[in-house]
Amino acid sequence: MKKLKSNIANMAIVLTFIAVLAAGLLAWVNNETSGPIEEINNAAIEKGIKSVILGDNEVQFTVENPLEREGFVFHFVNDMNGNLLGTAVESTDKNGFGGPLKVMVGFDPEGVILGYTVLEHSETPGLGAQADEWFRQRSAAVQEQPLALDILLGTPAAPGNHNIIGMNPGDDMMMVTKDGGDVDAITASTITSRAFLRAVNAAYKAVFGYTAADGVSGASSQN
Amino acid sequence: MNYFKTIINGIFKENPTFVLLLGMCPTLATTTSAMNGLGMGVATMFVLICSNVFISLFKNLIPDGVRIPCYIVVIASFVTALQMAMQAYVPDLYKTLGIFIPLIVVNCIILGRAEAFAAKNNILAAFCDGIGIGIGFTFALTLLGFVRELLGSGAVFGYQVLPTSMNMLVFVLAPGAFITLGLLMAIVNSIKNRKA
Repeated sequence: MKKLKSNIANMAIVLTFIAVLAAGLLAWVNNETSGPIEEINNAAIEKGIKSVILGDNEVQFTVENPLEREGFVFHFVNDMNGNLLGTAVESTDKNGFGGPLKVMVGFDPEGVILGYTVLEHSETPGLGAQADEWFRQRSAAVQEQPLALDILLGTPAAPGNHNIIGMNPGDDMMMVTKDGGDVDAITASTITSRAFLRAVNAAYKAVFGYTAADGVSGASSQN
Repeated sequence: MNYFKTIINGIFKENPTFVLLLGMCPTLATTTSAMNGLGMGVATMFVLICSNVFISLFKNLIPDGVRIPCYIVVIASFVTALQMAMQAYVPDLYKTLGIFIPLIVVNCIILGRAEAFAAKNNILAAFCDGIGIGIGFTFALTLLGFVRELLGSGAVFGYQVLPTSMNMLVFVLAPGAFITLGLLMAIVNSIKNRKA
């Protein structure tokens, strides 16, 4: 077959034909995958709610329908008698190191952090991407087994204060130590750490209205 | 046309990363670990093979005047389809590579091979070229990711082998990507020159 000439009719027809073909392919793939994608997202949210509120405890619970407001999504978790166990909040900070950082934080009714999980992030692997592990108590296995070379070189990792589980953003200074707060930032990832703590504080504020970090910024602006 | 030679050609003589120096953006951005490099390489290879075959199939139907828009539409469709498929069936890989997948659309390796090879050769040759260049790209990205991960986070495919106190953070960040790429390129080219 000879190559088609580049006149306007041929060009318009061929480009339209290819675009229609492409649209058809995408419509078909979208139709096939939208179901599984939604299932995966819902499963991730459900798993997140369970882990940030209950941790490893096996308790019967019910989750109220999610409530969306001002960019936050609230999931209220009740026990079987209808008492509030805690609130899981989806909160996003736009200024992570690599893009938006979306976390889910679980608060008990007094505002104490029960747990958290990072839902979406674009942080650097090996650095900021550690946020999912860094801000909680290290598991016993990691804590008690330093690498052999670490011992040889005499440089065991210093146990810093970066466990936010059990803190209450209403009373504790939930900021990195560099900014005058109580939380050690991830090594070499201060920007990620700041974004993470901003998201946690914003989540607390969305539920309870006021954070200790607010008090400081208010005081410094008066000086 | 020797098809086997076409494949080998893509892996060594015309390796897209070390010899042609095409597609540097995803090369530098995604190779923070060996696994990410491998994932990105395989994803690119899939799009490359699909677009090569499709463009070779329609090469006489596409008028020269609109060939670039046609190629871009074809490539973008395959990338979007791949992205949706990954999100649905390999969510873990999608979680680490997700933001880089749309970048494949503007990867000049794919457009370059469409223009330089697929539009001039038959379907089977275009398919082999896609495999060869795809393997070459995957190999280069995995090697780059391996070196950066080992030096930067002391791990190999996610398994910690060196203590964290020996990490050289710069290798995980952008400057380390350039340094590693330059050194690997020098090594590969010196081996190639010695053979010739």
